[in-house]
Amino acid sequence: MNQTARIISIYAADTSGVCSALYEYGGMTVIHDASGCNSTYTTHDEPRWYDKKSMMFISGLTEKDAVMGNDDKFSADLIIAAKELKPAFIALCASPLPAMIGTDLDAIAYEVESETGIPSFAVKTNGMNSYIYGINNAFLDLAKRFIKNDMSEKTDRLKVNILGMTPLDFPKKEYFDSLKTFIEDAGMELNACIGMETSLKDVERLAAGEVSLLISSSGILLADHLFDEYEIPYVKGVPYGIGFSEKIKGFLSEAATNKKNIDATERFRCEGKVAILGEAVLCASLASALLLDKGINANVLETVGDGDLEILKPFDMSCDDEKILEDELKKYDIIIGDPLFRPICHDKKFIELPHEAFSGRCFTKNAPDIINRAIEFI
Amino acid sequence: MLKQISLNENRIPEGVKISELDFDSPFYDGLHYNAPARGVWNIVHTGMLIPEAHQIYVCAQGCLRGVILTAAEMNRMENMSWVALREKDMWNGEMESRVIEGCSHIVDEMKKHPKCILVYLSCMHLFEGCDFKVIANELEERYPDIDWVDCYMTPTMRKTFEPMVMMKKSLYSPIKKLDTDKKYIGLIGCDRATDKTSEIYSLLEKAGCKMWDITGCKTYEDYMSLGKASLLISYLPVVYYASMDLTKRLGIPHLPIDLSYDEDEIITNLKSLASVLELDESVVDDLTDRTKKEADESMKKAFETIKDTPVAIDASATPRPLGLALLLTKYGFNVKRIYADAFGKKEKAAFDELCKLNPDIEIYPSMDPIMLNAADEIKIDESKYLCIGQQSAYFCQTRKFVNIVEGGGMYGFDGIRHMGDALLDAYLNEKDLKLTISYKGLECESCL
Repeated sequence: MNQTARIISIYAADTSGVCSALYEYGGMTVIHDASGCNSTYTTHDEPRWYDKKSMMFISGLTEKDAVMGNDDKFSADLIIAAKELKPAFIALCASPLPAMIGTDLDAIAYEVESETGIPSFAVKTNGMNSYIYGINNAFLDLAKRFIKNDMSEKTDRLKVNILGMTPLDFPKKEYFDSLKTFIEDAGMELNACIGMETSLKDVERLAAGEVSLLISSSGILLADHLFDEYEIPYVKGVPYGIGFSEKIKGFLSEAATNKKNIDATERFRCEGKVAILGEAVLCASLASALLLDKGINANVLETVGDGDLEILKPFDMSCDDEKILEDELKKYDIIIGDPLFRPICHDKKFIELPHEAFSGRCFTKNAPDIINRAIEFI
Repeated sequence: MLKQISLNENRIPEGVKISELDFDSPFYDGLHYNAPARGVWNIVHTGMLIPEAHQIYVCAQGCLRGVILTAAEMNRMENMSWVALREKDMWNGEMESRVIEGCSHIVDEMKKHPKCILVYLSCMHLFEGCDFKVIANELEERYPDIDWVDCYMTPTMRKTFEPMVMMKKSLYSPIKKLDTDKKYIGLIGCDRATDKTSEIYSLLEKAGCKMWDITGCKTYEDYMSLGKASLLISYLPVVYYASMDLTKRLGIPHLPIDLSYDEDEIITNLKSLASVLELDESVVDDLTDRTKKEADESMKKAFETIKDTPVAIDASATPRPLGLALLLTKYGFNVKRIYADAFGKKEKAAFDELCKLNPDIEIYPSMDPIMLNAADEIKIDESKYLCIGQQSAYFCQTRKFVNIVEGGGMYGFDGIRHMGDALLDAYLNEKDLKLTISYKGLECESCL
């Protein structure tokens, strides 16, 4: 039955996505929520919480506030905190109840900005969408506010933006290090990474990039915005493995030259008896890498129910329903996915590939780094 | 008057002297920060105490995420299911049927029906005016072999009924009245086992009574046997609503014997218990002569080593942080800080006495946004603090801390003895702060 699961986990929600996306930019992000969103986010969806400080709060909404529409208190609380903490910006997002009662977060953001002079904006969420939705909206809103057009510096090397990188898909810093090395090994230069190991300076100089590497569905709105507004094309795909990484290097140059977006996975996919479960861009990239490095044909079973579904092939599937997924998995010999999918894979050969957005911190320590290096887990 | 905590020139939060605080409303309740200390139990941990039960959460994705991963970290996904609410569910008038059909689907997918299913509804149901009676009646009719329990994850209501208060009520709601066993006493409200050496157990033993404690229940039948209890006792404030409900439904009297660190209150509570157990007061006197002496020795022994080490206490460690601070102050400990956003009404006497005895104790909130900077004050290798509770340990960045939540199962003079031992142990044996406080639900199994 749709929207129901007996035993599997659920993906991180849009509110966590917003917080994850904005974590490193020196802003203050506030979920308009009673309680729970903050501990859920900081416990399960934010591996940086203990070691790297960020102004992530909730409003502490009460039944009285909800019934009486006490928005003034929320505005006042934001102003009090902002004056004390002096954030670079203020971002607001809604949990289900404010969404239900129609709280006008845009108006509150406007009021707070008028009072404090601090750039403030509302990011569209309702606590009922996936993390991909929240991250996409947050990155886009951030970029619209802070991109500068005059940040270009002359360089001989191709300047690359990394888009769609948050710990929900890439939970360890070593993933960023591997991507940076990948870009530098290709004779290119990292212009800006959005989401991790980043600052507002990266957002400001996004327009100086010549091509973007879109590594998850979570950066697609920003990638399209950069293409539409600044003619910066993007290559979609994560440089997993050896062969596929090499292909992406070529595609980055090609996209920059031709000013055309490229789906790096498009020509490297074949139908097979291996199923890869998870987020669309990550899974399609892994399928391409397996084909090029190991000759393995793999299908993608996109399980978030959100994101870049255009990357899927006719033999792939998008399914966020546990029962349908369980039946579909019977067709495969080998399943690659987060360990919390294992209970519906029965006696099939199961290869664990932890995904923070699904299992949180449960298996982070076992998540392999396969960016620009040989794939050894299969 | 509400205090607005502020940052000093180094952007570190400044505590407020206890003597300058308003007991009833100590701090302004604005935006909320969440410290990375995960030991406190939530409604999932508590619900898992019912043996052979299953939990189904019906709420939005954002709310589901936290509870589902709580179960995942406990390695208890077998006992956890969910129904996600989407935007359309808010408007299509099918909130009740979404719950009924979702739960039915989950049960139909099970190889074996659980004996009890806890169904958790959310703020969305509450504000939609969802009719839980309709849901319960229908599910009971479809699956009469299952005890269906209505539970609530409604943090919006926390100023009226905290989610954990509601959870404690739901926790005992399947219990049905059985033939009374005069020698069977139910201890309610505790998520973790109470020390077997406590005076509660000693008095029960002297009265020839057996204790029911949910933490000791292995089967659903064990759990249901609370229905034969002749008396309910509790010592944690979170259970007051549940005790009222149980007494009303089952007719079993309830005796609160509050957790306390005050000598007179401990003796009064133990004498109340002795009285209903039909024991002579002299039994309590004899017992406490010994346990009080042991508690005294333990505290003095701890102080001999700990001396003037600064001590901090937080409200996640005990429902009576002020009472504990007062006790430690009287033994000469250098209590410097208490982290608490509010105080229970029964702490007023301790508050007043501390204002006189130790007026410079600094009180800090734990949820105020500026507490984000609190851990910057002291480097972990330089911290001199000895803390009681995970939150204070984090804020004071110390490896020396007593790792307990909600009183830690310590009760009476025996509990004070344990506290003295625990303080000494914490002082002498450092812990890995980050690792220790990262485990969710203290003492629960963890996959981390």
